[in-house]
Amino acid sequence: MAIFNRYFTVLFRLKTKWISLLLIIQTVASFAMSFFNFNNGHVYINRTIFSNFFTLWLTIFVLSAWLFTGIFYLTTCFQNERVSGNQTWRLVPIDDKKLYFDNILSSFGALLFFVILEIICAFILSAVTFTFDSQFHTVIIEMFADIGRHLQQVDLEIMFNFFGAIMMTILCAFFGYFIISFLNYSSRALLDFLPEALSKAYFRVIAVFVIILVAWLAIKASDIGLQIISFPFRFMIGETTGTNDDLALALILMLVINLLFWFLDTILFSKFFEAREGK
Amino acid sequence: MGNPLEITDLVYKKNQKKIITNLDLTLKPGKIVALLGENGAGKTTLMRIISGVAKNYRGTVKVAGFTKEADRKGHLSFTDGLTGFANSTKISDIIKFYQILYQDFNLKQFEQLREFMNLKPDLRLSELSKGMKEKLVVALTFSRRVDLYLLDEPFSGIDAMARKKIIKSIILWKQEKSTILVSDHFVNEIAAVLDEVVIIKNKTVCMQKSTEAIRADNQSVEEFYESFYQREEDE
Amino acid sequence: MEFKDNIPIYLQIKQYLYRQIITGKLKPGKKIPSVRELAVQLTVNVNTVQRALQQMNFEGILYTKRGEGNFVTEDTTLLEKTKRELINAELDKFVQSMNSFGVSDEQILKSLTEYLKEERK
Repeated sequence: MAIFNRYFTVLFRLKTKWISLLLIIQTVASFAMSFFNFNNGHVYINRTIFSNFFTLWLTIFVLSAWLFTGIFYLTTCFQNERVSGNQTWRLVPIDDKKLYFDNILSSFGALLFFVILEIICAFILSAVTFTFDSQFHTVIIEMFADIGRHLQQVDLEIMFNFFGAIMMTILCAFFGYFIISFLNYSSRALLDFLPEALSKAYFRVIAVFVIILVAWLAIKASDIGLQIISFPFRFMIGETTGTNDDLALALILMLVINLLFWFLDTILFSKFFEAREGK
Repeated sequence: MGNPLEITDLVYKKNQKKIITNLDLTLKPGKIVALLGENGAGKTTLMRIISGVAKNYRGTVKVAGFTKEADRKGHLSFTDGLTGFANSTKISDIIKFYQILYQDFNLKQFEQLREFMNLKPDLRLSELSKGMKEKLVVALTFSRRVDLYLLDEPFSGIDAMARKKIIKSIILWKQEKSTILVSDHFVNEIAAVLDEVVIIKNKTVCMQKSTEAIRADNQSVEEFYESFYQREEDE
Repeated sequence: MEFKDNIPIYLQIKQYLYRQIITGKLKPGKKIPSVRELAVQLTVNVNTVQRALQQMNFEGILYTKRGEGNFVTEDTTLLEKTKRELINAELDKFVQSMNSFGVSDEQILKSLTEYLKEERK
């Protein structure tokens, strides 16, 4: 097995280490919340009111899934930067370009794994609710029948929308990894370059702000550049017309932005970003 | 294959301050060499540059004939402080990490070294004393089969018994053709096992000499080393 | 075994092995420890041990059997000669230090006879 795959395996293991703990916390917390809200809590699904305990639990679990996925995403971001600057991980005989890609890819892999586990958990909980709540039972069956009917009308446009949205989410996840690395590497490189008096720890925060400011000004200076770069984000908050053409454009631009930052990060990482002394 | 180590015209700056200037150093196969110098002379930095974890230097660094960082990392073994592992990590988990990521890692050899150093595999990093941890680091470093071993101050802050164990392990497990570069700011304790000394002063290598040649001049290695720093004090 | 750090170690290893042979700890015709064993035992460099053994091979006090290691010579005249050299070297040191105290050769002889008579009864 090539070093790229072996390194990926070890990184993936590192980043998925806390998954089970996080899932247990989520399950227990949502259980406790539904337990305390059982008597006065109501849930609407398809305009039907539910008051069964399991239905409440399922709902809270699914709602908190967003929060916990966010938390898990942040842990992977943190791990990325920790690995990048660590001597133990940097001494492994692997090319820096591959190491960086491995690092990002394994984080995304771990995130994907977490989302799949969330879906499986929600599915199991749904199955339980399905057996215990007869009202839920009927509503779900109706819902599936509804979806079945809609599926016959699915055309290319809807498909494109659906997969486009998924693609956009994936690209955004990568964008987060790339931009955090970029700020970390560029501020570190800057601090290693500046005279010692200026390289104190708190200057790092200032360096990050300076980099953001410079980047923003540079983009602002060319209005077209700002138009291009901000397009995917304006699209996401609904400031564009929201047509399929816009989605396609936003996807392509987001991909280009990602590739650009990936390139910049790789250069910074392999040429300037040192591992901290590990003594 | 070239020499285990060949450095030409190395310059390294950090924070606009020169740490290493115009450094040249060649090590021949099969030697045990001490890298001597005061604290802050740049010994650790030099080792980090050789192993490719310090960036942004000028000059060429060749390890066993290879200049690319990834190739260099594959042909040398550097004592790493194991900072990549959480304190709760067991020794057996660290071994798994090494086994997967270093194809030249020899488990049988590690087990022998581990027994020799009296380390139990189910110990956690947090349970190790400074001396035990250093012994583990040296055991891991010597469990790989490479051309160049870089030991960065393996004797700092550890007791005499652990020191003896580490020195004996160097003699026992060194392969005939491989070269060991061991840094220290103190030479007495290892003088008898050295082939050569390399002295770093004023940000560069100021002397490289065989220990037996020093002794043939009726000088001890320690006196020889100290004379370099004394001259500076007299100036 | 402690070595003096201002004398080449290979010379000291040779001295050490001569002593082992003369005192009978290493017997004529018998195999001596391997290079690595000696290096670990004495905590010295393998290359240094190698150099000492090479010289002793050259002198004939050791001989090599291919693939087996180094053996002590069975040549008794050579062993006798080595013993004499070792004794001479010790006497040399003794006489030199006595001379440095201002004791003449005749006085050394006299003192030594007296010493052996009085102190070593």
